[in-house]
This record gives sequence, C-alpha cells and structure tokens, in this order.
Amino acid sequence: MTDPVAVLADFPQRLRMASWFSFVGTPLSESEREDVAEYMQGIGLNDLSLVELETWRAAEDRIKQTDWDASWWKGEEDLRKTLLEQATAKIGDTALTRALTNLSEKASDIVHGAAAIAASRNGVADQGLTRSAAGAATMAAYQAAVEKAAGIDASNGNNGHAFAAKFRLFEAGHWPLCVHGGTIYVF
Amino acid sequence: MTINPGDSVETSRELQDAPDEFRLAVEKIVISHAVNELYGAQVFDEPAIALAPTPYSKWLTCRVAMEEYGHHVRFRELGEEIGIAPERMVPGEKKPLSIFEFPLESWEEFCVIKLLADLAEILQVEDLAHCKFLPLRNLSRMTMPEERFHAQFGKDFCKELIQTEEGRQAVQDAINRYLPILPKFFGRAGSKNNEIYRKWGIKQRTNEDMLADYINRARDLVEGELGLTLPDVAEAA
Repeated sequence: MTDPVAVLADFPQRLRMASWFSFVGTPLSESEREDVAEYMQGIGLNDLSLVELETWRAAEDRIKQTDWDASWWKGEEDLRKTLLEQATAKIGDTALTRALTNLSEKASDIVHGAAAIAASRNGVADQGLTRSAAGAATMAAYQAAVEKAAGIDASNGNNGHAFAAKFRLFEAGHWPLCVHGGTIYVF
Repeated sequence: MTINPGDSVETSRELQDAPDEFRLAVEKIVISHAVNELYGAQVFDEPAIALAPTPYSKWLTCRVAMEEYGHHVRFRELGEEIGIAPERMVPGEKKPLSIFEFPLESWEEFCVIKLLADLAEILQVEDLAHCKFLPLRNLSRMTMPEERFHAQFGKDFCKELIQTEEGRQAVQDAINRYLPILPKFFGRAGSKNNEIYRKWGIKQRTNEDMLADYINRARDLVEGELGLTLPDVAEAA
C-alpha cells in the first residue's frame, strides 16, 4: 500500500500558503481561464461560456438560485467517487480516511477565517455566506487530495485533471461558483 | 489537595486527584459528547449535502458538517487529555443517542433537525457553560457560537421553506415525526447520573427542568416564530 502521508505531504503547506478568497472579484488571468476550462472538461462539461462576478452580493445571488445545472454537481460527484475508489484501492480505507480527514480539518480551520476576512474587507459580514464559501473551499481541497491520492498528480501545471485545476483557482484567491444555463460563474 | 462538591477543578491534571465519582462523571459527559457529535455529523450533516437545493446550501451544510466534526475532535482531545481511550470516544462501544435513528430522507427533515436538535444541544451546552471542571466549561463556551449558528441555520431555512404551502406541510410533518424522539435526549426523570452531575456542579439542572425549558423554547420557535404547531408535550414525552 502507498503511504498516504507521503502522497499528500505537500498539502498542509499548500493549504497554509493559498491566497484563499483574496482575489475574488478581480479578472482571471489567462492561466486561470485555462484552469476553468480544464476543470469543466474534467467533469465532462464542454463549450461553456465564462462569466466573472465582481461582488460578494452577486456571488451570493448566483449560488442561491435553485435552477443551477445539476450536471455540474453530478459530474463532480461521479468523478470524486471514481477517484475515491482508486485511491482506496491504492492506499487502504482506514489510512486514506484518516489522511483525508486530517486535511479537511486543516483546510476547514484555515478557510473560514480567510473567507470572513475577505468578505469583511468588502463590507460583507454575513455568517452564512462566509461559511458557505468555507464549505466550498474545504470541499475543493478534499477533492484535490482524493485526486492526488488516486495517483494523479494535483500539484503541477495543467495536466488535465479537474480537481487539481479547481483547487488551483481557490489557491489563486478565486471562487469557482456553479454552472447555470451553459455558463460557468467564477468569483 | 481535597476536592469537595462545589469546588472548581481547573486543569485536567487536577482532575486526576478528584474523587472517582467526579472523575467518572466528567468522563461520561465527554464520551457522550464526542460520540454524539461525530455520529450526528455522519448520519445527518454529511448526507444532507446531497439533499440541499442550491450550491449555497450545499456548501453551508458542508461547513456545518465540518463544524460538528470539529466539536467531536475538541471533545475527543479533552477526553484524551483526561485519560479516556480514543476507542471509547467513537460510535461502537458507546451507543449513540436514539435521536440519531431518525431516517433522513429530505432537506425539510434536515432543516427541522437543525432547528430542534441543535436547540436541544444549545441547552446542554448552556448548562455545561457553568461546569466546575473548567476545561469542560471552556470547551462548551467555545462550542456555543457554532451550535447557535446551526440552530439559526435550521430556523432560517425552515422560514424559507414555509413560504409555500407544500413546504409548510413538509416542515410541519417533519416536526410532528421528529419532536417525539427528542425528549430522550435530556435523559430520564429522576436520573441517578444527573444527581451526581449536580452534586459536583458539573451540570446545574435536572433532566426534567431541562426538558420543560426545551419544550417552552421549542414552542416559542415553532409556534411563535414559524407559525406552525408543536405536537402536544404529553404526546412527545
């Protein structure tokens, strides 16, 4: 069995050094746009247009809509389950669960404060919204760790892996929101 | 150093010198919280992520699950500090409470669970916030804001759901089915354990007193704020 601690060794450092939510509302760079495309393609969604939202209120309004595209969530869940099976086969259930739990716990501790600070800088003091942002970031960290544990390197460049690309967007201070009507929304 | 009823125990080290009755009573409470926080996150919060209707509510539920899990971690760490074996602080040896046997099938049910079960948890944490074992007092005070947020989460989403007649019926139905399970959360009337907890100042109130207070507060919430009906207390008890 592979040692999960070794496979995921760089994750705690990446969680600490990420610029969580610090660049929301600012235009995406070219490489970040490529990450968005890679993330979408990786979960089976192609030819989407991209809309960048500029304010916390616009982001909140978007993620509170009930008519979002369910194929986006399903695509993520299907991929996560496949990767989790692969990772479990490689690492073993107990060791993998322990490693992922530790990482999620670390991520959870870090991202909530970061989201609250970023929102407050923009005059937003909404506990529900900052907690929701923290939940999204924790989930992204977990998904990227599963992908890496499955044997797919999440740390380097544009190598065609959805959760690595999604995590890079969070690391860069953005928040990929959701898919609605053929459009991916990013904050 | 002799520790008598009413004395404060300031550290986990001091607890080792406390009478067995005090020490074991603290252990029982820490184990119960560690087990139930974990089990609650596993049977309610994690599965509810899939049931949540929007990205906002899915991620918020994910965060709530992490916070409940975090409560388990904090109680487990305190438990380890006072010498409880880790395997006694996960579901298995210690049976989780019967309130977790409710089969979660809908978002409305989850919102009602947050509304009613987290209110019950708030009452327990409020009681421990004056505990004479100060590390447990501090831990409960640290946990309180998150428990309050979770109950608020339940109230906010229930308020949203009852805007439609269909949602109103679904929330009322979940309250009717879930409330009857909750009185057990407060323990039996005339409980020997509770007598020991109060003797040492670990808890402040009887189980009966806590349950009566809970029903009053649940009624204020369900009938006063949501305009729904709380099932008869006699039926629920």
